[in-house]
Amino acid sequence: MQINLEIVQYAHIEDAQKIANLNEKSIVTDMMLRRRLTRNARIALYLTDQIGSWDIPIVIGNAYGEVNETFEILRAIATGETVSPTAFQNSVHNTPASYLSIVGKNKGYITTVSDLYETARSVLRVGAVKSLTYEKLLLIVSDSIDFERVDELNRCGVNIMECGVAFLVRQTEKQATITLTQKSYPGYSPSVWPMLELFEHAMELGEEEKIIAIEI
Amino acid sequence: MKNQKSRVYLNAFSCACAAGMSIEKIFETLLSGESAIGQQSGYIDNVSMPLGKIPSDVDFFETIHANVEILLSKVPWFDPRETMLLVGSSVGGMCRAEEKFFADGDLQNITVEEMSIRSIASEVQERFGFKSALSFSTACTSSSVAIDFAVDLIAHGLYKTVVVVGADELSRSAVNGFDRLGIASRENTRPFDIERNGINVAEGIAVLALSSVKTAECVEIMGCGVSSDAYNITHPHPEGEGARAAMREALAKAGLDGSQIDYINAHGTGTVANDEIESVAIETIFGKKPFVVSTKAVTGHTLGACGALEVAISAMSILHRTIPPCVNLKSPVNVSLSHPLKAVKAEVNYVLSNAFGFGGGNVSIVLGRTHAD
Repeated sequence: MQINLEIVQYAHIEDAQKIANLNEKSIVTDMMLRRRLTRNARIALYLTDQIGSWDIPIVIGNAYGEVNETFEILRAIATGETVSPTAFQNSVHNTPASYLSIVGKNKGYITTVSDLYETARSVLRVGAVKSLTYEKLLLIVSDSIDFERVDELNRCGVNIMECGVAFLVRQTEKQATITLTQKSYPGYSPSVWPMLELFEHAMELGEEEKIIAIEI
Repeated sequence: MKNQKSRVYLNAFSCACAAGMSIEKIFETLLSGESAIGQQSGYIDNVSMPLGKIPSDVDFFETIHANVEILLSKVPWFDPRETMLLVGSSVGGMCRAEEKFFADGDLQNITVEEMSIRSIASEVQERFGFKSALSFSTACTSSSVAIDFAVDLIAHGLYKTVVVVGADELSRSAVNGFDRLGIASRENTRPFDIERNGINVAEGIAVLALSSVKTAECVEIMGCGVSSDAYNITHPHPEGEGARAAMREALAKAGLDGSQIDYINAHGTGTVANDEIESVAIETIFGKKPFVVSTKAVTGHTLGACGALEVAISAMSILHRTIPPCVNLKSPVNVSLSHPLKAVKAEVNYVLSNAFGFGGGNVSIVLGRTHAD
């Protein structure tokens, strides 16, 4: 069964290394909170700020979680050091969702999916199903794998270390104008490929209606 | 499409946790009033502490497969090729990565596939041939949000059958992390007691079969409420605003008011913050009437699995007309609530089960007895 989503707004950011400017100072004025943000949280906050819709249901996805914090914990245990409480509280996959809720004062539905290379597709599917309940949703996929020992784990040639894509969507009965072709994006994590392809289509269509059919 | 709403039933479940290798054994342990938490070493260097370990030497992933197999044998009319698999987990395959990393400090022996959250869904889907799979990871509410999504899939007529797997294995990262946050108790946890001092980290597996088909022995999933605290990464909102919002939404969707709930399976972690706030939130909505129990005193806190595990326990309460006791409770933090100290035989018609998590996520699920048509 398919559900059609209309893309209302979209945003994208990427860098081969750590993205230099994610406007954190203007988005998160509380310095203590800002200092604790993970990389995925910073990307998600930036994309939400670009879209400009903070207090709406959100489906967010990341394939690898918070790799910096995860490996900081593993390293500390392996070397007999004490685990940083901040690293631990920031290590869960829903950390970006939590910061989006806190910064955006969003008390509604926010969820996190993590399906490795299927992550973008899962975000679109969950978003499509939830569009039957909520008027509009924000869908975000981000991955930051910019950490010290990434070369030991990176075996599929990812050289864009940070990437995020977001769409503001709503359910529609109109016919699809976009078809995803399962296009590959060498150098990018496969977890974001469908979102990158959707973003490309959205850019191409400009002012025209941007509608995609999501297979549930 | 927005108007199509089917009722959603929990047709069968299969579970494993410290309290037993089957839901029947787990429920028996809960009713006995004995904690299943035992002293474990090897998670924090030179420290033995109470943790909830599944009483089996079988590999954790194999135990998940075994529970899926048991579940499918209980609902032979579930065709995996037409069924959606939903997984809720906070650590996924992390323990495999830990085992390899702590052996030689090398990351090159670890694959992202085996350590990912997706690893559970991938392996279960491959083994049983489910049509499609999707994984949620929202800390301690992971399997609860999977249930909420399963309800949507069935209610909207998108799937007739859905299998939900909640699973989290005891990892050194989690045990060390909770310990460093100062919320892992070095004693057996005492939810809702004034002298409670933290959680017992635990592992657990709960596999649920949900569908639009009412069967002889099933309960109805009547409503789910999902909210966010918008307050703090680790501390719940001080007035329990998010918890109350989730419970109210679940009640509204179920078409019930608080006075109709017979039993609340509380999140009840045993931490100072959670139990105080959850008590206030429950009292505000439900008053003194429903029995309020945290089964985590017996099972431990099974993290991302707890939502599905406790929905199964709640269903057992309805089907067996019995409410388990509050174990290790001597002096309640809130004397206005009804905490049974012994198992209670009662006509349990409606149960509300709570799961709250890191980052301020809250999920409440209302289950109800089904009646003959």
